[in-house]
Amino acid sequence: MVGRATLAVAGAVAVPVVRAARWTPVLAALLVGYAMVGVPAVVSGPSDPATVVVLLRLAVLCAGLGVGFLFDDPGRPTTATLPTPAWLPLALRVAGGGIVLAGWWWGTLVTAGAVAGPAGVVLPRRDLTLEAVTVVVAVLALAALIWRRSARGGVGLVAAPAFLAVVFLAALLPERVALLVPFDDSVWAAAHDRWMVTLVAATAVALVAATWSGLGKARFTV
Amino acid sequence: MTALLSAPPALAAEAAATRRQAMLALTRFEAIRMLRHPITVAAFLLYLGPWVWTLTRPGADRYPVLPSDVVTLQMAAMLLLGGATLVVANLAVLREHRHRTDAVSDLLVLPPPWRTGAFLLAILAPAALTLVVVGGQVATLAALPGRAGTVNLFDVAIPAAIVAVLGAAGALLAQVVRSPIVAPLTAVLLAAAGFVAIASVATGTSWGRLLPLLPDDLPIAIPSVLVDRPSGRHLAYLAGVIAVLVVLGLFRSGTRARVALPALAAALAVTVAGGAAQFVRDDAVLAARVTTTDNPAPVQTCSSREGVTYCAFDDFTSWIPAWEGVLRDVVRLTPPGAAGSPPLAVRQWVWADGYPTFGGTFGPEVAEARARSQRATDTAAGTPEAIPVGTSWGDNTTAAAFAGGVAFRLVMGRAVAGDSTLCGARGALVVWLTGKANSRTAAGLRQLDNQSSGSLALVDYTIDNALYVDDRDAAVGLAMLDRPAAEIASVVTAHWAELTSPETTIEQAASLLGVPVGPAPDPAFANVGCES
Amino acid sequence: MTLTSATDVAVRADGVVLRYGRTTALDGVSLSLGTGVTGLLGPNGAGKTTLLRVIATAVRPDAGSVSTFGHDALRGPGRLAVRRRLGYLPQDPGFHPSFTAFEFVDYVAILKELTSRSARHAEVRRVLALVGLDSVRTKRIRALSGGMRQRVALAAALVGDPALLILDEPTVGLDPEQRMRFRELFADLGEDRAVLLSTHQTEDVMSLCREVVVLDQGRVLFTGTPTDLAGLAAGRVWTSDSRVPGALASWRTGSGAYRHVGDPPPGAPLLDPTIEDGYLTLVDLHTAEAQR
Ligand SMILES: Nc1ncnc2c1ncn2[C@@H]1O[C@H](COP(=O)(O)OP(=O)(O)OP(=O)(O)O)[C@@H](O)[C@H]1O
Ligand SMILES: [Mg+2]
Repeated sequence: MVGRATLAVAGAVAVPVVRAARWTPVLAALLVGYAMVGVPAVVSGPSDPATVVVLLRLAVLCAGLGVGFLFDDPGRPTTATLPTPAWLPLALRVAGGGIVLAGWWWGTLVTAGAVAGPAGVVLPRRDLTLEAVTVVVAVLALAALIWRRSARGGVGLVAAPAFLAVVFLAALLPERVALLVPFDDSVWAAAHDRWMVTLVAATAVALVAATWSGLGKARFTV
Repeated sequence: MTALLSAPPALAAEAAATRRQAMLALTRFEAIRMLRHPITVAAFLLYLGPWVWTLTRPGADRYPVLPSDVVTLQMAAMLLLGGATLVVANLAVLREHRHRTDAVSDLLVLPPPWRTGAFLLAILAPAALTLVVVGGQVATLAALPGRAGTVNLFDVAIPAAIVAVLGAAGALLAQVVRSPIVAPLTAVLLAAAGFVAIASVATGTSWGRLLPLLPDDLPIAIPSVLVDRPSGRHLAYLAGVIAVLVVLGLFRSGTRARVALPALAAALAVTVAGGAAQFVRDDAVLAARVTTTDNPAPVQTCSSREGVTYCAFDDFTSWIPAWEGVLRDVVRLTPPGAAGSPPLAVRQWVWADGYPTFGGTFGPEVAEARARSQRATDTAAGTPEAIPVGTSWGDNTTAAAFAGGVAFRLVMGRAVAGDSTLCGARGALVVWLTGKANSRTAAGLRQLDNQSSGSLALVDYTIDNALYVDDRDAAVGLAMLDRPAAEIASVVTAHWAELTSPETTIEQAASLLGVPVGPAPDPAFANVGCES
Repeated sequence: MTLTSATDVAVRADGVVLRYGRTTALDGVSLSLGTGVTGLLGPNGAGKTTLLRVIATAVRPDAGSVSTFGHDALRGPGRLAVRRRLGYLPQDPGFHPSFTAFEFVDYVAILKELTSRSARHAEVRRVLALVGLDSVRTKRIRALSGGMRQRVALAAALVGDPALLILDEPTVGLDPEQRMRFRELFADLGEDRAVLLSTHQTEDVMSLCREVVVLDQGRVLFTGTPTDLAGLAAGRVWTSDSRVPGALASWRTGSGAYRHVGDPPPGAPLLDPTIEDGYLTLVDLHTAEAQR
């Protein structure tokens, strides 16, 4: 599927594609997300790990709001019928966003460790990273579904509130299938198995939604 | 063809219409758009759906305490309805810019401040809908037979004001920052602040009152005579905030400074006055909290039912039948006359003063002093050894904690006071009585067992009493629950005196009942501080 | 229906149906396009944009087939082959507003698989010169006028020298001088390429198009030469000194006399019909038929 021509195009188009992305909302979201741990790091003393976990989740929530805007592509009407598949510029933009997000998450985790103080060693960094990756991929999947149907390439506008609604629904999940479990809860490990499942499912949806048959009827005009 | 050239009469009339009419027409248009927006619809469904479900599902909590349950509604309303209105109002104002229609509409008859005014007025629609919905919810809660506390109309109005504040904020944000990310981020920030404010109530902070919602000042429900909720002043504060946002929005879209600045000054004055007034405490209520925590009897009503006296705060008397049900279920499992004397009594307590905050000191001496004063209070009030019950009811764990208190009273002949740790056969018996009383207490017992480690805590966190059963003894009680009920019940009835004796060890009880018992712990740690 | 010799056919659409919910935008459209400029006429909402989007592979129809240069334009490899030889100007093009005109066209050129940098830049400069945007090459698109943006989009369609050009109302928003230039440009392009353009400008059609297709309510009403279309109104255009209420259209010309299209009263002095008259007559007849 990915031929030599596609690779050559990818190399040539990477820089303009990353430039064309709407970075302001993404960066604003990451900044506010970082503030969730950055502000407590400055103004308050060491917090207990359970609180830090909540703060990190709020930070990821903010990042999730921004991620959908990576899909915004006002040039879409003009580029929809070009030979390069539409997922290629998208994938490059998501890759660019992924690098930024990874750096952001690293910085946020370091700061969170500082907020937790000496108790920071017990922060479940791996599980929290799993949560963060899952949330980002879930937003990508949601955004890809919206992107398929948006003729004028306005995605973040719809994805952000839709993501908030999904988060509310996730918060309402009954205990048996809960995802947002408190730190130190006995179901933490089981919940993170469910996070893993969610990650796999979201990845599949994102990939299928972004690549499967580029010809759909785009009816939304955002 | 020619007919098209002369303007239809309707259009001519429209042109002559005043700005106010045009603004109202635009308001109506925007209000309907806002109400029908998918985000608004989804938010109201997400808000009401879970609430209806938790109220109607089998085993639901039907014992609301009004002021504190209303705070829960306020939080949900701020997150969902307020958040949605924030985003929708923001998008509505951004829409003009996004679709590049502002260049066109700038030329229309209605000048920008009037158009902003229309957007701001349209926010009244979701606010009114919120008022209706929350009013319906509070009315439903108030109509429940198990309702405690009283309705405060200001509290009913606060969610609508929250929605209006956030809507006005969304409209203003769109005028300042033309990015659709700002509104959802603001919603998340508010959510975070709201959670922190409510979670930190236990530590005695009160800055949360500057948020749109009004957190309670105690993490537990209290009778209305002890409530010090500045709902009216908070509503005035919110009105001031709305006015500030509205004036800023109008100013930003071109209202003359000569008009806007005095209005802004007035709005700020209301905001500051209302905001500051919230922090003025009612000293009489605070004093009453101290005395009532020590001695609730003077503000309580007692009633006698089938030989048992129940004393509850005046606005909690509707819970007496529920307490009576659990008490009967426990008594039924014991041989007649097990209660002994004095006659059984139940008294409600409240922990309205000195609720554990971070850094407080608590030790056995404090608990002992507390136990002495509780006994003295009960004796003075004519209900010696009254079983304590708190200000929360309706969920399984409080039912289990209360059943544990009843069982303690029946087994020990006295009431739980201060912190009590039970060991030996009596501990197992109390656990069995608690788990056997009814399905609710059984579920609550399992929940408490999952939550506690070291010893099983039959604790109602709204009162300053705690009943612990050593884990090894509790395990025997839990094992008894798995055995055929009739068999165990007959052994318990037959050997009641033996099982309730402090001399009976857990090994003896276990062999009597035919249940296994865990290995004995290191004697150095065993039975520390057991009730004698 | 075949207007051009079989070897010459660039696009052949057959029985194309496309519905948006309950609206049937295309209701069994069949047509073939050959080399040269073909004009697509029709009232607002006739389905012109939808048909062009189908042929440009932007949307897949619910039924029917489209074959372009012998490839099945609706599926996988055929679609890719078509896209490599296609230039499409949407009715409402979109841009990255922070790009300069050059950068945007260059971006489109990369996505058209022109990966060799120097050749691509030369090509981008060529098309920008073609649409007369040489001087504003380095201006950001958000700072360009509406007509200039339209020309940027046109340049993006032309880049890579496509063999099939699909242009949705290309002359909208252009000044008279530019419109003349573009007529010339399209005529040139039509010499050895297939150009399909939709327009509401009947003069454009008359002066440019070898063939004209009239679409209404998702159906092809007419296919033929512009002269044939004008011929439909033969005997139905007349002049008089006053307004006539029954006519399909009537207006006062500069000379003071009234010109009418419709059923003429007996003995009225007839005029030579224009393509516009033919179009009006055609659509009117169709509407009347539909109402019956
Ligand atoms: N995205 C869409 N969703 C729903 N209906 C649509 C959509 N796009 C077009 N339509 C409908 O399909 C029909 C044909 O529209 P189309 O845009 O093809 O018309 P057109 O001939 O290009 O009109 P115009 O001359 O105004 O450009 C119209 O009835 C229109 O309302
Ligand atoms: Mg069109």
